[in-house]
Formats: sequence, C-alpha cells, structure tokens
Amino acid sequence: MIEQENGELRIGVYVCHCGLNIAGSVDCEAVTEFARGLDDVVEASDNKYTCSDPGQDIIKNDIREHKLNRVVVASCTPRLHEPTFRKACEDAGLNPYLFEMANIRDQCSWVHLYDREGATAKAKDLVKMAVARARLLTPQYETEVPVTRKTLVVGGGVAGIQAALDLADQDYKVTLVEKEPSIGGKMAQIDKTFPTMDCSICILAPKMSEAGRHPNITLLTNSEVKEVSGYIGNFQIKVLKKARFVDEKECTACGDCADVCPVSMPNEFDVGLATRKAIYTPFAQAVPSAYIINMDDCLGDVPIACGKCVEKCEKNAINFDMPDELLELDVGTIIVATGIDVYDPTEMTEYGYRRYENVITSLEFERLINAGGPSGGHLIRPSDRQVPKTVGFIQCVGSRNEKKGNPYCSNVCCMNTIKDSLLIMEHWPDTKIKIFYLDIRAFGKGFEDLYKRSKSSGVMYIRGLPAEIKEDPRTKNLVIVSENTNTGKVEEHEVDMAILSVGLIPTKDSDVIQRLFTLSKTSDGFFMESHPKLKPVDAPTQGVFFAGCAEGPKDIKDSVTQASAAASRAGILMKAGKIKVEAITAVVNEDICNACGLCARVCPYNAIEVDTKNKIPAHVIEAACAGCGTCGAECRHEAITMRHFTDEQLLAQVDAVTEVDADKKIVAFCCNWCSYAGADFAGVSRMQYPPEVRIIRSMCSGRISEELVLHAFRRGAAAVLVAGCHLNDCHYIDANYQTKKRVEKLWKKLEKMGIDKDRLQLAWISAAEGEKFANQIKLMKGIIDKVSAREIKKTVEVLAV
Amino acid sequence: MSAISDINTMEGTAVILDEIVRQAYQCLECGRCTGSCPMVELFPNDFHPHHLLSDLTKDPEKVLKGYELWFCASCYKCNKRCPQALEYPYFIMQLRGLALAKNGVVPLRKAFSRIRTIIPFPVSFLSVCIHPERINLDPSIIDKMHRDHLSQKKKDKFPESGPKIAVVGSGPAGLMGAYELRKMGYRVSIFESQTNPGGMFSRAIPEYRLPLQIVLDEIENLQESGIEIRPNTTLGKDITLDQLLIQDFKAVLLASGAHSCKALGITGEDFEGVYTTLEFLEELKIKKKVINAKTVVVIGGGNTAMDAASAAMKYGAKEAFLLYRRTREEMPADMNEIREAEKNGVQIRYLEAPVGIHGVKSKFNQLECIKMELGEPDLTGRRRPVPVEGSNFILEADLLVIAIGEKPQIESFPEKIATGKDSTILVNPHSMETSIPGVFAAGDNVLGPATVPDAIIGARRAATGIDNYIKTS
Ligand SMILES: Cc1cc2nc3c(=O)[nH]c(=O)nc-3n(C[C@H](O)[C@H](O)[C@H](O)COP(=O)(O)OP(=O)(O)OC[C@H]3O[C@@H](n4cnc5c(N)ncnc54)[C@H](O)[C@@H]3O)c2cc1C
Ligand SMILES: Cc1cc2nc3c(=O)[nH]c(=O)nc-3n(C[C@H](O)[C@H](O)[C@H](O)COP(=O)(O)OP(=O)(O)OC[C@H]3O[C@@H](n4cnc5c(N)ncnc54)[C@H](O)[C@@H]3O)c2cc1C
Ligand code: SF4
Ligand code: SF4
Ligand code: SF4
Ligand code: SF4
Repeated sequence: MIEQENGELRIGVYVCHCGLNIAGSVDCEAVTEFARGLDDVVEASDNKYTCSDPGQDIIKNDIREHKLNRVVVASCTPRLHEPTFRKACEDAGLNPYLFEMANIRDQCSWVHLYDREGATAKAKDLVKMAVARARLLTPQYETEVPVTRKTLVVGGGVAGIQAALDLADQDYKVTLVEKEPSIGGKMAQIDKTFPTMDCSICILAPKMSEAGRHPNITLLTNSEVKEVSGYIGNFQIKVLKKARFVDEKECTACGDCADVCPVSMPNEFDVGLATRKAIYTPFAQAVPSAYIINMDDCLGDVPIACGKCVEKCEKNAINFDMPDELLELDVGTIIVATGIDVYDPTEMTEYGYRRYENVITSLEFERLINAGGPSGGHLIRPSDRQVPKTVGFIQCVGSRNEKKGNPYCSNVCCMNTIKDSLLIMEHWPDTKIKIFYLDIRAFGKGFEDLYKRSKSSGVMYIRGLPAEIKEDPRTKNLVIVSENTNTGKVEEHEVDMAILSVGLIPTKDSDVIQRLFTLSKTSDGFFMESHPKLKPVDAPTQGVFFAGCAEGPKDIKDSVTQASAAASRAGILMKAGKIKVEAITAVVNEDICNACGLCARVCPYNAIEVDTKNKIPAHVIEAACAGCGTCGAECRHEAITMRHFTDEQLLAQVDAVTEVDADKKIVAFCCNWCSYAGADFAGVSRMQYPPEVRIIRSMCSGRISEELVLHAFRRGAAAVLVAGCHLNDCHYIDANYQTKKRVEKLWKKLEKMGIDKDRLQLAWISAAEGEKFANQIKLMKGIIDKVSAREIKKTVEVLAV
Repeated sequence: MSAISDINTMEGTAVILDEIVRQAYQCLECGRCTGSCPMVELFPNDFHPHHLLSDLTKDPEKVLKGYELWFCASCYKCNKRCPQALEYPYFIMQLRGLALAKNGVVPLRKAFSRIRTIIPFPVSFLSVCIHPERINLDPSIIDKMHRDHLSQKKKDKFPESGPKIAVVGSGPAGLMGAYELRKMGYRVSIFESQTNPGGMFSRAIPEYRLPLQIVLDEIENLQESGIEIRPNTTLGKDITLDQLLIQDFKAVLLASGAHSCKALGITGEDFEGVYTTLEFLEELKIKKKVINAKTVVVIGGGNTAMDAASAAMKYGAKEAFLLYRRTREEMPADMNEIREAEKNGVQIRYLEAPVGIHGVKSKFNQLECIKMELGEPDLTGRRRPVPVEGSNFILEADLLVIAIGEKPQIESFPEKIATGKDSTILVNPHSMETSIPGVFAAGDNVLGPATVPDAIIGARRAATGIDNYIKTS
C-alpha cells in the first residue's frame, strides 16, 4: 500500500501537449523542467497525449515505481478528464482524491494563442498552484447511495415518448409528465415527415398508444412539475395534475358531450385555424383518449348555467368538482424532453403576418394540408378558400437573425420546406412554387435526394431573403419583393399565398424547467449539455438527461436517437442500483464550534443541525449536504472543514500565485458549474484575454470566504475576482446570494481601509458566457494596470496580521 | 464602433475604415438591404448596397474613390431588416466623411449628375438625404451644385395636348408624380393647400438642413416644364374629389402626406407654448421664430422628435429635453438621428412620460411626468412601458413640443376610399391605385410618416399606374 497521508511527499507531475493544442502556445518542456524543480516533486515528464492509454500507463507505472503519493496532471480542464485520471490513480492503488489537475489548455494555451511567453509563465504558475494544493490533499472515501429504479420524463413529444418506452421496456418504472391534454408534441401536428415522406401521425400514433397502455408507464397529462429536490438517484418530485373534469378511465371518447356544448373556441392544436368546443379532445388520435374541459371557456360549472354535457354523457364521466391533485414521486433519474415552440413572426412587420390573411406560417401550413386538419387536407388560401396557383416560401424567418428572432439556424426548416414543396406538387402539380432562401441546408441522410427531387419537379429556388411582402388590397394577392442575389437584381413576385418558414425556439416555459432542475442554457436558449461531444445527452446536474429538441433544434430522427441515448444513460445508472457520490461535504469540528448557528442559517439545504439554546455544537447531515461550502465560508471560528476544498488547500493556491510578481496578477475564484465552465468556454471558443489571471476553482462561489479574498490582497495581489453563477441559477439553490452579501460587505470593509474597492470584482458568468468572462478579465487588466506599487504596498501593510 | 475615433487624424481614419471593413465581412449576402432600398429602385445600375460591402472587403480605397457611395439616402430600411444588424447608413456616413477628406467632391459631383437625371429636385433631395451637415460638407459646395443645376435648365418642352391629371399635394411625392406624368405628355395641375409648395421640404425640415429658397427655386424650375400649381387650394374644402373627376381630370394622384399630428390626450394641450411638431417646425422655418434661452421639452422617440429637439438647440434654446417612454433599445428613431440630437446637446431622458400640462393663465410652464418601466413585449416585440406608481415629478420648461407621430389627414377625403392602419390609404402595390378607380396615392399618405426616397418611388410607380389606367380605359 502506498503511503498516502503521512510521511514524505512524493509528487509526480505530467505535462500534456495535447498535440499542438497546448504545445502550440506553451513551452511544455520548460513547464516540465520548472515542475521538476518544485519541492516534493520527484518525477515530472511531458507527453503528447496524457489521456491516451500509454499516457495513463506512464502515470500508473510511476505511481508504482516512484512510490508517488500525489499526482498532478497539467492538461485540459478537470471538467473533461478529471474522472479519467482519477480512475488511473485508483487503478494504481492511489486514492483518487490525491490527484490534482492544472488547466493549462482551456484556460491558458487556447486563450493566449499569440503570447507564448505569457502563456508559458502562466502555465508554470498553474502547475505550481496545483502542486501546492496537491501537498495538502487527503484521501477521501466516496459514499455509496442507492439509486431509485424509476424515471421521470418531462414532456411527451416524440422524444419523451421514445425515452419512456425504451426505459419501460427494460422494466424501469416511468412517469411521463405532459402539460398538454395529450401526448404527441409537434410531431402530432405535422402532416408528412421528411426525408421519407411518411405520414407523421401514422407512425407516431402507435407509439403514443403504446406509451398510454404500457404497464410500466404512468401517464400524467395536463400536468406540470412543481418542485424538485434531492440528488442523483434520489430525487423527490411534486407534480400538479390539473383537473380534467372528465374521468379518464370512464370516458369512451364518443364525443356526445362536445356535440351539445354551445361554446366555440379556436383549437390550439390546429393553431387557431379551426374551432373546438369547451369540452374537447385536441385531435382524433389523442392519448389519453379522453375528453377534457377547459374551465376558462366553459359557460358554467353550475348546471343552471349550462351543464349540457353532463346531461348528455351516458357514462357519467363528467365531474365539475374534480380537484387538482398534487402527486409526489420518488425517482432516480430524470429525462427532460420539453421540446420546442415555433417563432411568432408578427414582429417582422415587413412580412405582414396577421395583417395579410394569406401570409401563414409553416406550422399553420402543416395543419392546412393535413387530412385531419381544418380544410380536410385541401390546400386553400385563407382569404377566399381558393386553391392557390402560386405559392411563395420564405426561409429563415426568425432564424439566423441577430435582431429579430434568433441568431442560430433552426435546422429543420429547409428540409421542411422542401418536403412541403413536394407535397404540393404531388397533389396540385400545376402550382408554381417559389422558395426564397439564404442557404439550403440539406446535410442529413437522404436530404440531398429530396432537395434534388424538389428541384427537378419544377420548384423554383430563388436565392435571397425577401425584403418585404406587400398585399393587393383588392385581390388579397401578395407581392414578394426580393433581391435575386444570383443576378443582383431586385424582383417582385406576385403569389397567391406566402408561407413563412418559421424557426424553432426554446419552449416558453423552459425558464421554469431550468430553475426546477438547476440546468444551464447555452446562448441560444436551449439547455446545455454536460459536454457537447462526449456527454451530449447528460445535463450538468447529475442524474438528469436530455432528449429531443429541449437541447437544441433537431429533426425527428435525431430527437428519437437522442431519446434512446438518454434512456440508455439513465438505464446504466439505474441498473447499477447504487452510485458513489463525491466526497465533498462539510465536517464540523465540535471542539471549536461554539454553536452560534450561523452555518445552519446559511445552508441552502438545511443540512446542518445545531442547538443554539443549549449550545450543542453543529452537526452536518451528510446525505443532505451538497458540498457548496457556504457554511465553511461563513463560520467565524474556522470550525468547519470542507472536504477536498479546505481552507489550507485554497490558501496554499493563493500563496503559490502570489509568490512572485503578485502585483501584476489577478486572483480569480470561480465556481465549478458556471464561471469556471464559462472560462473553459472562452477557451473552447478561442477568445483571447490578458494572461494575468490565475483561476482557483471551488464548487460554489459561496465557498469563498472573506479571509480568502483578504489573504490574496495581503499577499500583494493586484486584483481579485469572485465569480459565480447568475443569481437564481445557482447550482446550490441560492448559495450565491450569500456570496453577493459577503462581497458587498467586503467592499465596504475595503473602502474603510482605504483600499480601492474596484480591485475586488464580483461577476455572474454562466457556463455559456465565455465572452463575458474574457471581457471581465480585459476590464480587470485595465484595473491592475492602474494600481500603483504604493497602493499595493499600503494594502499589504493595512492587512498585515 | 469607435465613433470617437478622430476622423481628422491618419490613425483615426484607419481605425474607422478598419472597423467598417471588419463589419462588412459579416454580410451574409441575403439581399434584404437591396430589396428594401428605394435608391436601388431609382438607380439600379449605380447602386447596390451589399455589393458595396463586398467591394469594401476587397479594396476599401477604391470604394472611397467611387461615386456609388453617394446614393444611400439614409432611410434606414436596410438596417431595420438586415439579419446581421449591420448599420449600413452609418457606415456610409462615415465613409463619406473619409472620402471627402481624401478624395474631395469629384465623386459626389458625379453622383449628383446621375441623380439630377432622375430626381427633378436634386439639391433639395441631397440636402435632406445625405445630411451634408454631418459630414462637414461645405454649404458652398451645395450652393454651387444648386446654381449649376438651375443654369443647366432642360430646354425640352413637353406636348400641351395630353389628358389632364390632378395631383393633390406638392411635397416630394406630388412633385415627382407631376414631373413623371408631365414627361409622359399629360397636362398636370397640382392642388396645394399651403401658400408655399414643397410639402415637408418647405414647411418642416429645418432651415439649417434645407434652405427654403433652394426648394422654391427648384419648384419654379420644375414648373417651367409646364406644371401648374394652385396654391391655397385644399382638397375637401375648396374642391372635392368628385369635382376633380367631373371636371376634365382623367385621374387623380393623392400625395397629401401625413400631417395630422397625434395628440397626447391629456389636459392642457391647448395651452400657449404647447406645439405639435409641425406647428413648431413651421414657426421656426416660416416665421423664423427664435427661441432665445428657453427650455424646450419634446415628447416622442421618432425621427421627427429628434429633428425638432435638434432644431430647438440650433435656434437658441438654453436646453432641450427629449422624453421617451421606453429605452433607447425600443426607440424608433434611426441611430444617426439619435447621435445627431445628442451631438447638438439634446438631453434624452428615457422611461419618462407626460401626465399633465400645467401653466399660469393657460400659458404653459410645467410638465408633470411619471417614470416608466418596461413590461412584457407586445406582438411587435417591443416591450410595453408601464408607469411606476407614485413616481410623478415636475419638469419646468417654457415650450412643449408633442412629437408622438403623424398620420395622414384623410377626414376630408371620400369615405369610400379604403384605409388601413393609422389612416393610411390602401393601394395596389404595383399601380398605387386606391380602392376608387382612377384615384391613385403615393408618399406619406400611403406609408405613414416615411422618407423622401420612398415618396419618390411611390410617385413614380403611380405615374406609370396612371398612364396604364388611362391607356386601357
Ligand atoms: C412546422 C414543422 C415541421 C416539421 N417537420 C418535420 C419533418 O418533416 N421531419 C422531421 O424529422 N422533423 C420535423 N420537424 C421537427 C420535429 O417537430 C421535432 O424534431 C420533434 O417534434 C421534436 O420532438 P420533441 O419531443 O423533442 O419536442 P416536441 O415535439 O416539441 O414535444 C415536447 C413536448 O413537451 C411538452 N412540454 C413542454 N414543456 C413542458 C413542461 N414544462 N412540462 C410538461 N410538458 C412539457 C410539450 O407540450 C410537448 O408535448 C418539424 C417541426 C416543425 C415546427
Ligand atoms: C422634420 C422632418 C425631417 C425629415 N427628415 C427627413 C430626412 O432626413 N430624410 C428623409 O428621407 N425624409 C425626411 N422626412 C420625411 C419626408 O419629409 C417625408 O417623408 C416626405 O416629405 C413625404 O412626402 P409627401 O409628398 O408624401 O408628403 P409631404 O411632403 O408632407 O407633402 C404633402 C403636401 O400635401 C399638401 N396637402 C395635404 N393635404 C392636402 C389637401 N387636402 N389638399 C391639398 N393639399 C394638401 C400638404 O400641404 C403638403 O404640401 C422628414 C420629415 C420631417 C417632418
Ligand atoms: S434550416 Fe434553412 S431555413 Fe431553417 S434557419 Fe437554417 S438555413 Fe434557415
Ligand atoms: S452550507 Fe453547503 S457545504 Fe455546508 S452543510 Fe449546507 S450544503 Fe453542505
Ligand atoms: S441585409 Fe445585411 S446581411 Fe443581408 S446582404 Fe444586406 S448588409 Fe448583407
Ligand atoms: S439606408 Fe436606405 S437608401 Fe441607404 S442603403 Fe439603406 S435602404 Fe438604401
């Protein structure tokens, strides 16, 4: 057994080139040489790819051969490969918590591409910091928690249905929560599907009914998730099942009730193109196959007011007094499949949507040519219900636009239009179709074929996005004004009907879902994956997975593929039945604790018990502690130790940063989930910023105590940054409100001491805000350039203990 | 963009040019600018907005030497529609400044010689649309172009026998329509309710931007081609549409603009010292009012409001406040106008709205305002302003200008004429014919407050529409 805690320190340092990713702008040999010179380092080497098998083997061999008891790898971000290297250490008999990483790629070589000297100096510092922390690491033992073998799937579109079925077939219990009265999502609304042109509802309906009757699936429609607590393997969920007012089990969907209902309202499912009654079923194939009453539309739940439906229903299925139900579920894993909405083009006034009757959206078009739709599948234009002879499609409406709508490409609308053009040509071959596009994106399997089929069937593709649509008030015909960018000439095309190919946008209540499950969003508003390439269906919150469009716009095939992937990821967790949780929790030293109760007050998880009256010291309930470290940062008596992020370890990092040239450096404390990830994202996007910053990672910004900040200043640092997730996006409920309070207090304190408070910065940076991080550092570079040596000297004196 | 970069230094110039070129690379070549641009419709062979951007990425110096640079009329339609949010007219303004400093006025003169072949009031047009005051263009150069243009009068006389057409209104739309019709051989009479012809040119656009004399000279010049103007004749009051059609006018072009100023609907709007925009601008322009050392408050966020506030400062106001109830992001005024107003010392106050006009003996002296905050977006995507309860405050001032928008004054027109949003007249987009056969419309009365180049292209379309109508009926 390797000597782990006591006795001589034997540290091995491994500097990775990452091909040229690091070596391109950092002198890796020099960094290795530097590492070799550090105290307690007994072995140091550089390697082209440390994460490769041979790279890992070197570490394993060294652990055995050189009796290493600490390992430091300087390479990419720990958010990518920490698990890999921890595993390698463990394989060689070293406790995985005796491993430390220096992030010299995402936060160094990639962001200082043109400053080899600066980048190399910074890489050395980062290694020095890692070694300093490594010295103080202690072995930790992960606890195992059971995983409940049940899944919650949120959203019953094709992705949610597929994920639910895949898991149910593997014998896991699934609860599928859908906010609408029926499952099916967008796919139920569309007519045919590209690229195969099958009938959408024909292929979806069997899956819907299978989900409806599967013994392992509980379907909760007309329902919303209200509360989520717990952690991976052990989530507690509260779901509000809103009253349907029709007994799902009794209703035979005969429709007698709707026949007598006097109310007529626009049908949401037909995007308002047709009407429904106050008691209705959204569409023929709805699952569950039961009617529902919209109480806002219903004339009166007192029989005197109306109650016609109640009289008519032979099964007595209608119950006006049906209450909402709050259901509680225990699940081990969660799949978020909340899908998309479509862009509303009203704000693009130049296209006249809602002003000109014959301008419609692509989703409305799907309902119009659907046999089950309001016109029975006949292509008619709204103004006079005539079959249009010329039809114009306008692409990228609300997509790829920095001003109106969204900057991203919506991924499906090109193919959807190609599909629509073929559908029209099939049934009304004399129609003249003109498609105005910016680029045609037909990259998937079978897509190019479909595009060519459309072109060869006589559909005109005109390159250029129309400037505007005008209407002839008499005929209601439309004039599409557009530059044909192939000729450079402006053309006017008169059409009978124009279809706006609208983009896909995140569902309207995705903010609510984000908060409930503490998710992050990328700048496009869709949920962010744990890693875009290697963990594309995992959420950053462990035990939560994504399926379908919730994670980004995609077509049905990709949605289904992703759903199966998410189901399989969740299945892996649940099959094992238990999972190790990271050993990062708080421990109270009862000898020092004077039972003031401050820690218990700030803990977002109520994980601390303390009896202030009887002065019984604080005690941490380990299973409830999430490890944010807020308590440790608040405790005035240093009675709380945060495992794996101890005061000593963090202070040692500060000391390492400030050993030389402290007055030219920025000490940045970044939280693992958002700001550290944001700094990584700046790297991935190669956003360049000044190399003066040194990042120290903690799990939560709530961990950063007053002392840590003051210590950095005391050591002569020019500036300090505390960065966390946006308020309300905290991964530890609301711990960052404590951060905010603490920093505001510190500002006052600094001012009182005559220290420029600008030197301490607080920033909320999400994992997607690489640019914000880079800008923050640029801003702080300006600040440190202005701080004089005298000022720093004065600070050091004032703070001297 | 580094607006602060000094155009007068070599480095400053290079920085500005670099920045514009950098942005030019972002063009997606979608063509929305070209499709929107009224100047492309007028000068299809001379001007092409995004090709100019592409040229910039290839050889910026060549663009600075070219005459193409001088066609943009700064109408901002391209910017409003550009998916990359490129501020094309701002680039153009900056490039023109650079081009003048580097290459002098020769390219501008070349552009002018093209413009005057199409637009019959080229100097008025240039003065309003290229904003010489913003690019340090010496007024003497405009003067010289004006004298040259007048001295190079066209000798061609058009036939005197064609059918008669009535044009209502003598703003840019009316003048352009009349001129085009005259060229086709029609006999044209313009009915104008004001004494001075010229529409907004002679009524509203401040003198420092466009001298009245230039407008009157150009119209006089235009009249020599055989166009009759009947001043002080208002359609609906002095003469009706039916009368025109019964008389031997074969068709009518309505070019009556948008002159009805919207009211706030609060008490005190009739106090002394309270003006609508047009009243205020007219006082300045026609009555040569000076507003010595007074405090002026302008309410509104559009181009006209900016112009009124700027003019107040130019004509001696001590200070001018502009109140807008939303934030800069929602403000409808073009960025160039906002920058200009700020440069002229106008103090723009966002998220404030008037609730009461107070005064002594019906003479305005205090504006009661309330602070606003932004609520949910409306259907057009702009966030609705909501008053913050209890945040009322008083603004002391001498003059109040209500500039919250204009709309066409169609009350006196026949009821059967079909209209749309904000009293705009509905027309066939090709022929510009209204719902009444033989009656056409163009300019601000169709579009709502718009721009000079839009008025011109509308009128040109209408002239062709009228010609077709007469030939086929
Ligand atoms: C006009 C149009 C045409 C298209 N044509 C095609 C095509 O031809 N071929 C193709 O492959 N793809 C096509 N697509 C794309 C296709 O619709 C999507 O790929 C697919 O619907 C994605 O499925 P999903 O389950 O991820 O999301 P959705 O279908 O959007 O389903 C999401 C579900 O989650 C529910 N939900 C949302 N929020 C909550 C919440 N908070 N709680 C509970 N439930 C919630 C919603 O009600 C919905 O039922 C088209 C899309 C559009 C808009
Ligand atoms: C302060 C200000 C600044 C502007 N700056 C610019 C600018 O920088 N660039 C730009 O492109 N545009 C600018 N504009 C807009 C531009 O002036 C108008 O869009 C343009 O003048 C519209 O032309 P028009 O012929 O349709 O209407 P007008 O110019 O308004 O002319 C209409 C004419 O019809 C007459 N009339 C109305 N009703 C009747 C009736 N019943 N009988 C007889 N005659 C009638 C009016 O008296 C008027 O003379 C500005 C406008 C204002 C107010
Ligand atoms: S898929 Fe096509 S239409 Fe849709 S946003 Fe992308 S390029 Fe535009
Ligand atoms: S404050 Fe954070 S670290 Fe401390 S007990 Fe609570 S969850 Fe654990
Ligand atoms: S609208 Fe914008 S992106 Fe499109 S061609 Fe014009 S400048 Fe380029
Ligand atoms: S601002 Fe107006 S005139 Fe100038 S390029 Fe744009 S659309 Fe054309």
